[in-house]
Amino acid sequence: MTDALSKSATAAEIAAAVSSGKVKASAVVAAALARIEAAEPTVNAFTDVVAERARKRAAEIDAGRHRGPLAGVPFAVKNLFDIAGLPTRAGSKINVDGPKAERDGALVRKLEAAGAVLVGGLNMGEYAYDFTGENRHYGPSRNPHDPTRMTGGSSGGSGACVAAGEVPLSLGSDTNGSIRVPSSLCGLFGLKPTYGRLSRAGSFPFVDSLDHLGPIARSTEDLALSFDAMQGMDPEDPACTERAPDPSLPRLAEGLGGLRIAIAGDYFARGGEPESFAAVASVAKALNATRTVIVRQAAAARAAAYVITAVEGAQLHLPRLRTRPQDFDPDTRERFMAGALLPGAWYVKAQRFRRQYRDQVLKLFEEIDVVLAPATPCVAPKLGQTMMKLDGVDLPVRANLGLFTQPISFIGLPVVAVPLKRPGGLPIGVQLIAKPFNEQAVLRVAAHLEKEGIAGASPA
Amino acid sequence: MGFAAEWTVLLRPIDRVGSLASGRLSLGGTEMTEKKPDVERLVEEGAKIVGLPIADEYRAGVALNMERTLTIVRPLLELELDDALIPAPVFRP
Repeated sequence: MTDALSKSATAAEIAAAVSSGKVKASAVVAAALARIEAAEPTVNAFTDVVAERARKRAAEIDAGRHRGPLAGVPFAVKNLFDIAGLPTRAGSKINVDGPKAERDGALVRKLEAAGAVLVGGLNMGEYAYDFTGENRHYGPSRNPHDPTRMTGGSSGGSGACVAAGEVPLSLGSDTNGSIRVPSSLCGLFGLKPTYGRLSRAGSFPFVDSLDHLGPIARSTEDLALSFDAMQGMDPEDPACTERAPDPSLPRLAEGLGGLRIAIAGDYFARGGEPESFAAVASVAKALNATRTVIVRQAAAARAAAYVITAVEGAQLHLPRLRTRPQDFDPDTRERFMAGALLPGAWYVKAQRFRRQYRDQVLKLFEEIDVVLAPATPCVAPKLGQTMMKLDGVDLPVRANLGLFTQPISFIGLPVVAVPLKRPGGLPIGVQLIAKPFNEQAVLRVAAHLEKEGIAGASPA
Repeated sequence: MGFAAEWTVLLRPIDRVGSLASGRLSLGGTEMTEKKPDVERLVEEGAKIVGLPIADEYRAGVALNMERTLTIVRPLLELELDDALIPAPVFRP
């Protein structure tokens, strides 16, 4: 078993070691804080480290309190999650002038109730309107596999801290791909659960219609452990499901038995670089998946997600765009401003189309349980790169890294992004997609791929 | 072209197929050449309507993002939707 104090230790390994008394939670947290101090000059994942709070919590665990399935596991959260006593930055400079959070966000509380220990808040693209992980106020989060490259965003720090081995587990948000894109570019497992599955209470919103929260980790087991700890109805989030929690960990080792798996064709098989399609082909081969399905109108779904994002995001920030435009990150300010000027008819059409597209895609899931698609159209671009060539066409990086994730989150389907094992190559991931509330299926497939050595994550 | 007419060009593809990038508009199977929308002007006038002051140094960036949006949004605007299709107040997947 991996040393629970090493940067390679998973959340499950740490929790087992702490629960059995082999190691103290205080020692685990001290080791994590030391790694953070050492790695931050390179990766710039954290904006806030709550060392004193973490040490106190760890001491309480060692004294027999807060014992649970994540006992002693250090974790960190994208800084749009409320952390009691801190302003909720959401990647901005403006929010720092706002009120300090009175209590932790709902998912932070749930993870801590299960024994995990919060160690800090993480860098992100401003107000989550980002796929790069860059931020003019706090500097870019840097990819631990090559610090001259992007982490992907907007949950850039959430990817960087886990890929660097600072902590085994982080939380991010995903409106159009912001968990799956950094998971792909940083070589990690990321779970974007079904829309409404996890509470968003106590997090700074971006696009209410599309916002999801979820975990990033270096193993499927850690995704399942944390996901199970965070499930449950929360009346403080109007979108949160009233369904009973569906524990995923007990069924993780069931394997592929009975699951029907297909590859997404057409839209999801063009418009990217060869490595993204090669990754899908490798996963498909390992799963003996030969059937291709066509997700009709995916380009329109991407367009509709883009419109909903632009309009809801701009509406949310309109007062700040009017009064403090100079304090926005230049890379988000003018995108928000353009969004404020879009016709209302486009927005309503996008929302109406969403229902049609959902019905079409749900029909596919009558015959298929899991669909494979690329997570990103390329490996991590260089920091500062604004344009990229995809399939021979020059496109802006910021708007297009989520080309393959947007049409999926648009209708709230659960997805696990799995990192392909590519020795010597930059990381790239594949999306495993299921019907709503069937996280179980995609977690089982991810666990199988990990067991077979096709997918895997190691700290850089 | 006045502001109202430019706004009409921008809105028109909601119901009918339009190719804004090429300036060609297809209506009922016949193609006609249409002037591209004056995006800079749209930004200027739209900002007045919304009550959003846009400083001169931000205008080019806003126009660029508006141009990109027009390209990305086209597949949505080209669709025709059934009248019975209504959005849900709280989306349930």
